[in-house]
Parts: sequence; C-alpha cells; structure tokens
Amino acid sequence: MNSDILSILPELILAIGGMALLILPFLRAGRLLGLIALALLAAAFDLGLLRALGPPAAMSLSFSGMLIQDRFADFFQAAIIAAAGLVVLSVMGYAGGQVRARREFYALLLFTTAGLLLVVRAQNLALIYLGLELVSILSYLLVGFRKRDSLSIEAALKYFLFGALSTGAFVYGISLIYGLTGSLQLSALAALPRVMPAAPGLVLVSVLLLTIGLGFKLALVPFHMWAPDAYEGAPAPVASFISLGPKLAGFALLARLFLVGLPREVASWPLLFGGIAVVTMTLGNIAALSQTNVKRLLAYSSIAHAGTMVIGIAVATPFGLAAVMYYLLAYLLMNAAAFAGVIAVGNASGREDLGAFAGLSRREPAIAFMITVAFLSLAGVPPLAGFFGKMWIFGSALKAGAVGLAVVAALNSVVALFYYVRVIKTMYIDPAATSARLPRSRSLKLALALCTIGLFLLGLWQGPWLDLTARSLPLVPPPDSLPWSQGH
Amino acid sequence: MPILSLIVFLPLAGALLTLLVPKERTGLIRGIALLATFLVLALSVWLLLHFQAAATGFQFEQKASWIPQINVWYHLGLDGLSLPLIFLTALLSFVAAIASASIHERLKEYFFLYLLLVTGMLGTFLALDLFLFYLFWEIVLVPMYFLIGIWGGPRREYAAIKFFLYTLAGSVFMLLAILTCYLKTTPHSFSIPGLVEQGLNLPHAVQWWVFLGFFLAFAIKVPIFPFHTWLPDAHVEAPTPISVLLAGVLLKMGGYGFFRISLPLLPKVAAEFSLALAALGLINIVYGALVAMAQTDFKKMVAYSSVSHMGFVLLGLSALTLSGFNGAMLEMFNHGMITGGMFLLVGVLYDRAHTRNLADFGGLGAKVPVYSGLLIFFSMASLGLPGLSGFVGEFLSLLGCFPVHPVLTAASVIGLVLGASVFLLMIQKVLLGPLHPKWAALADINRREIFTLVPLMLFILWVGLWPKTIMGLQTPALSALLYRLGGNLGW
Repeated sequence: MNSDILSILPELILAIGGMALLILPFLRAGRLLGLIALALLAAAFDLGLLRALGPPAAMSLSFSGMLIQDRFADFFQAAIIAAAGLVVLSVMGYAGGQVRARREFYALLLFTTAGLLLVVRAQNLALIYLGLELVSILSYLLVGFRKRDSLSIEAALKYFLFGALSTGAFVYGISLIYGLTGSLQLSALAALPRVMPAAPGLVLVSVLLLTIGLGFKLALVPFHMWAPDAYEGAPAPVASFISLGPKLAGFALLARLFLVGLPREVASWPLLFGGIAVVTMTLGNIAALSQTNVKRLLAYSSIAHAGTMVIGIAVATPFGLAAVMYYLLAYLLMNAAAFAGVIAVGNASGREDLGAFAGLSRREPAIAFMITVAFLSLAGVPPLAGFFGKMWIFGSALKAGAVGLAVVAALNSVVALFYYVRVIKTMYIDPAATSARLPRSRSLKLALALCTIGLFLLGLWQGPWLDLTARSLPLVPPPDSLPWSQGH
Repeated sequence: MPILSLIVFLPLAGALLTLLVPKERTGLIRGIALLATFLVLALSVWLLLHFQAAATGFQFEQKASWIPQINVWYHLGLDGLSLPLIFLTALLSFVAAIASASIHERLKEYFFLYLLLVTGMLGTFLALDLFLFYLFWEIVLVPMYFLIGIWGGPRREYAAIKFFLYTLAGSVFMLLAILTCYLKTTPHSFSIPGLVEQGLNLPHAVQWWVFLGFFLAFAIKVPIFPFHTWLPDAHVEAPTPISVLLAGVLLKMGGYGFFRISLPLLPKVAAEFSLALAALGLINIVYGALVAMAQTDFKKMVAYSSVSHMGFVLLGLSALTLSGFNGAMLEMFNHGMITGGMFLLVGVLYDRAHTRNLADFGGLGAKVPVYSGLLIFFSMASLGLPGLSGFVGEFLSLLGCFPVHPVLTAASVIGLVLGASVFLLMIQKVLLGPLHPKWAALADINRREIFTLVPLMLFILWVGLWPKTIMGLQTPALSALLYRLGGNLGW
C-alpha cells in the first residue's frame, strides 16, 4: 500500500466507517450504532498508538509535506479520539431529542472527529483551512440536529454565522500570508520577519486575522459570543463534543501556528495573547457567576478555562505548552464528566437548569459524587487533575516572569470556585424536589466513572503524564526548560 | 513501623470503610469513626512517649519518592513544632467524634467527611514537602465546606461558601509563593527542610512577595485582622463538633505555617516584618476582645474571643525570642483545648435551650450546677487565670515580646483585662441573676458530655501547673529555629 494512504489510515477508518453507518441497512438499534462507533474510534486510536510505539523516528511527512505525523500530533489525536469516545458513551445514554438511535448522528460525529484528526497534523495553511471548514460545517449540523427545536436551530444559526465570519477572516489572513511570502506551508511563517520592514501593516493584519479565526474556534473573548447559545441550544452530548474536540484541535493549531511557526517578534503576538488570556478568563468567570442553566454555565466555564490555557501559549515557552497539554488532558476528562452529569440529570427531568440538580446526592449518591469530583476538578481543588493543570500554567507564567498573568489567573480561580460550588451545593444541600431515581444508564455511568478515575490518576500519579507531555512537544525543548525534564 | 503514615491515613481508611456500610446502620458508622479517631489518639500518645525531645531534626521520618519527574517526595516527619499540634488534633478529633452524638441526619456522609477532614489536618502538620503540605492544606477545605453547609445553622450556606472562598483566596497566593520557591531553586525542590538548608536564592524584593503570598494564606487561616470576617460566620453556623475542630485545629494551621515555612524559609523578611506582625497581634487582641464583649450570641462571643487569643500567638511569633516562640506555640495548644471546650459547652446549652442569645439566660448557676462549674472552669482558663494553661501561653508571649516591642506589648496587656471582662460578663449573664421561668426544666449536663470535657480540663490544669510538659517538647526545635533566624536565644 502507498505510504501516503497508510499515514491517514485512522482518518480513513473513521470516514469510511461513518459512511458505512449511513448506508448499511441493518443498523437500526441505538446500542449497536454506538458500539460500532466506539469500535471504529478504538481502531483509529490503536492505529495511532501503533504508530506512536513504532519506529523511533519522531516524525514523518506525507502527501508532499502537507501532513506531518509527529509525537505532537499523536498526542492530540489520541486526546481527540478519547474525547469522541467519551461523547459517544454519553450519546448512548442520552434520552433527549431522538438522537441516540439516529445513524446520521454517529456518522456526523465520526466525520467531525476525522476532520479534527486531520487538522492537528496539517502542515499547510490551505489544508488547515479545509480541515477547519470540515469540522465547522459538521458542527453546525450537529448543533442543529434537533431540527424541530427552535432553540437548537437558533443555536446552529448563530454558530454558523459567527463561524462563517471567522473562517472568512482566517482565509483572508492566509491569503495575505501567501501574498507576503509566496508559500502556504507553515514554514513560510518563519519568513514573515524578513518582509516585516517592507509591509509592517500587512504582517500585523494577517497575524490578527489568523488570531481572530482561531479565537472564534476556541471561543476566546472577544470572539466568544456564539458559545453560550450554541452550548445551550445543542443537544447535551453535542455541547460536550464542541467543548472538547475543537478546543483540543484549536490549541494544537495555536501551538503550530504561533509557538512553532511564528517568530516572537512578529506583531509581538505573545503580548496579544497575554491580553486575550486576561480578558477571556475574567469575562468567562464573571459571566458564569449568574448562570442558572448548567450548560450555559459550562459554556462560560470552558471560555474561562480556554483563557487560562492561553497563558501557556502567551508565555511562548516549552514549559507553557507542556502545561497546556497537561491541562487539556484534565480539561477533557472533567468537561466530559460534567456534561455526562448534565445528561444524566436531564434524562430524568428534561431540564438542564440548576434546579434539576437539587438534592441529587440523596437520590443518586454515586452519580452525585462523580459529578462533584468533576466540578471540584474544574474549580481546581487538589489532588484532582484540574488543579495541577492550573498549577503548571501558573508555574509557566512565573518562570517566564509573567507574574501579572499568574496573579490574575489565581484570582480568577477563586471567582470560579463560587459558581462550581453552587452546583455542588445544589446537589448536596438543597432539598430534593422529587425522590425518584434517575433512569438507569450504564454507558453514562461508565463515562462518568472513567473520567473520575482519570481525574484522580492524572493528579496523584502525575509522572507518566508529565513525561508524555514532554515527549510530545513539537520541538525538542532545551534542557532544563521543563521542571519535569530535570531528572532525565 | 510507618507510624506517621498510619496516623495520617487511618482516618482516611475509616472514611472509606464507612462508605461500604449501609447508611441505616448508624451505630456501626459511629463505631468506625470513634475507633479510627481513638486509634489516632492512641498512636499520638505513643508518639508523645517515644519522642526524643532533646534530639534535633525530624523523628519517625518517612520519605519516599512520589513523582520523581518533578522531584516531589512523600515526606512526613515529626519535630517539637508538630508534636503538640498532632496530639491536640488527635485529642480534639476523638472528643468531637464523641460530641457528634448530637448529629442524626445523613450520618454516613457526615462521618465520611469528618474523617477526611481529620486526615487533612494531621497531614498538614506532618508534611515536610511543600507539594504534600499544600495538598493536605487544601483537602481540609472541601469536607469543611460540606460539614458547615449541610449540618450547620440557619445561615449555613452563606457561612460555608464564605469560608471556602476566603481560605481558597489565601491558598492560591500560597501556591504562587510555593511555585516561585520551587522554580527558583536548582534542582527544583519542594522539600521544606531542603529549601531551608539551601536558603532561597532570590532577590530581596521577590522574597518579600513570596513572604506575602504565604502570609496571606496563613493570615486568613489564623485569622489575622482584617482577614477574620469568615471566622464568626463559620464558627457560629458550624455544628458543635465542627466548631470545636475549626477553632481548635484549623486556626492552628495558620500559626503552624508561620513556624514551619515563613520564618525558616524567609528569615530576613520575617525579621523585617516583626513590627507589623506585632501590630497586627495587638489589633487582634484588643479588637477581638472588644467585639466579643459586644456580642449577644454566646457562640459568636466565643468565636471573637478566639480572634483575641490568636493575637497572642502573633505577638509571640513577632518577638523572635525563645520565650515569645514558646508562648506562641503554647498559646496555640492551650487555645485548642480551652476554646474547644468552650464550644462544647455552648453546644451543650444550645442543645437544651435551642437559643444562644446571652440575654435570654440568667440564673442557671443554681439550676445546672455541674454545667456551671465546668463553664466557670473553662472561662477562667480562657481569661488567663494563673494556674490554668491559658495564662502561661499569654504570659510567655507578652514576656517574650516585651524587650522587642515594648510599647505594643504594653498596649496588648489591655487585652487581658478586656478578655477577663468578656468572660466575666458572660458568666454574669448566663449563670447569675434570677432564673428565667422558661428554664425551669433545663436538664444538667449528661455523662457523655462531661466525658468529652474532662480530658480537656485535665490538660488545661496540667499544663497550667507544669507547662514544661509541652515546653520541654518544643523548646529544642524552637531554639534551633531561632538560631537559624539569628533571634534572641537568651530571652
């Protein structure tokens, strides 16, 4: 087989498998559809794993240098597939909106996942744009999947309008870069400082446009307006997915475009991202304080988390990026768990507001405990993974001398505690409106349990995960740049 | 024998065990909690007996690599600074577990959280790695939030979240300080003795920021004015056994932090900060006592008197003399015993009368004589009657601080007078005067309640008469610390 084809085997498996799900006539049962989707994801995951374990050559290019396969891509691909797997588990336990038994739904999820896998390894700006478009268009469909629900439609439309605008900005930025450097390869970005004296304005504009494009995908302030509505209107598993997959891919892109590609002096982008981080964290947290719909609350919370992670990009050090990668693993688990909790509660009452959580600890102690772990981790309480994500981000800021960023982030984590604990309070302190137990769902419980175990594991048994982030950095870090490379 | 690990994790094991018990079997759950806390107490007594007071350095030390990649060690150790507090924690946990007989709702969750809290407190006093220390420090917050929030009084939700937010705000700055220490040493290290040995190679200004980071966390825990406003709410709303632990142990975590981390790690800044700390101590003493005097709620009065008492700890700390340090440490130990007892007594009265309004009582002295006797005993200890332990700690703090900050110390003495009037006024309002007919059927204190108070009384009397029992344990460690700080060893 052609080695180019071989290199995109995981994406191919997901794409072809998704099509098979669409056309094969005997696939009716919801359970079976979900299991097949899981099997396909597992196959893609294993292939990635096989490649990661394979030849020690850290990276290989394919399709004439359009795609790269390095440890960095392996890391993000594995995380994206894991996120998709957790989402499929939640879909299987989701009772609302006749989503569970719809083959198109699983197919769309698989296609989107394939798109995300492609994005994190693209080495060419045009290909990145195509991958982003693929992911975006499929996400609009997923958000608007409940087509008779006006909230879902509104959310999809809003997401679409903002998304179209942002990809427009992104593609405009790309075209400017092509005009300036004559190439669409990522390596062309390194040439920008050379053309800067001739056209400083154009360079600045092109960098800003790229930032806008990615800022929309990551829901960074001031490009975040779509997120709360999209999260609220979308079916809960879709909200879970768009809070995970595009975030993971978006941070991979930020790293490839800015940290690796763009020299620091161009448009002094680290400063730009520092500012974005501050406003994103602060606004996300403050807006989350007054939310009563838990999905909306989680939307603002993920805006705030993205803001915190941007600090790791803004400091522009290997330590910062490694911290972001560790944080993303934690974020993946705790957000997936929080949304699984929303689904479990929503299944019983059809509601997704705080009131539906009232007294959950007495009706479902195990589920309430697992949701509590997720929210405590989101709030950054040790020894859970979310705390250590924050801690390493703070550490990278301190090491880079950005004390102001660290202090703002620290203050923000205090504000965040308030709204996360409010959910926990509702479950444990408020009286229950009903004593009915939740409808049983083994797949939801499995997703929650996996995330809970993972959050403890990532926190208390950190070593291997820190090693993983160090190994997966896109560039070999200089010695002693990471606190966790000192022993090696 | 890994005795320190056993002490720290026995309560956690008990907590996990309670999860396996069906929630209807309340007797068994209580039994597990009592057994776990009793075993911890027994082990801490064993430690008291086997501790080599004269030896320097840490004893019963345990060290194992935990996360080698970032040089994090599971490192526990005991010295003269931690031993009295470990014993205090163990004793109060056992006593408060008995006093938890007044809790009837959601018992399984209660004791799970209770035992988790005990593990966190003990771990904080034993951890010798900043990473581990921070973990235990934070683990305390979560169960405490629930214990106040679920089993507390009418304003429990407000008090619980206020406690959580305040203490977290302090600890995130401690985290930044810890990270700065960690990242600025080569090789990066979290080890407290290691960092102290090595000295922080930081510019003076940065040392100040690091000191302030730690200070904020400890100041909120102690609490130091103006960071004390969480305390009256939390102490008043918490159920009795939890108030006992809050006042008895949690406040000590702040004072202990100064001794264990701030002073040895940043000796220069600590010396420069001495005057400010003494001034804060004075404010705590006088302000706390004045506010306590104005309270109409019995529990709130005791809570504010804690603020006043912790002022003596600050005063002793600021002195950087051996007497001052001894006084501060002793005051922490004594305050735990005395105020723990006071909260138990408030709880006893509240369980019967369902009110804590001081103006509602009067004339109880003849009605409930045993209770009155106990209340007078603890009040006398609290106001610093010579012969009881409260006096020794306060006296030593003042004595140690006098040569260093004479004016501030002299002003602080007013606090003793104010403290006395706080408790005497309370005794007058509750025990003296005509008996309100409403309390004609008030029952006297029962045997279980007396049993929780007797051990505390014994220690208050013992330490009051023979303070060397505790001072002998802590003096060598304090001298070593003072030697490192270049303070006045002779005074």
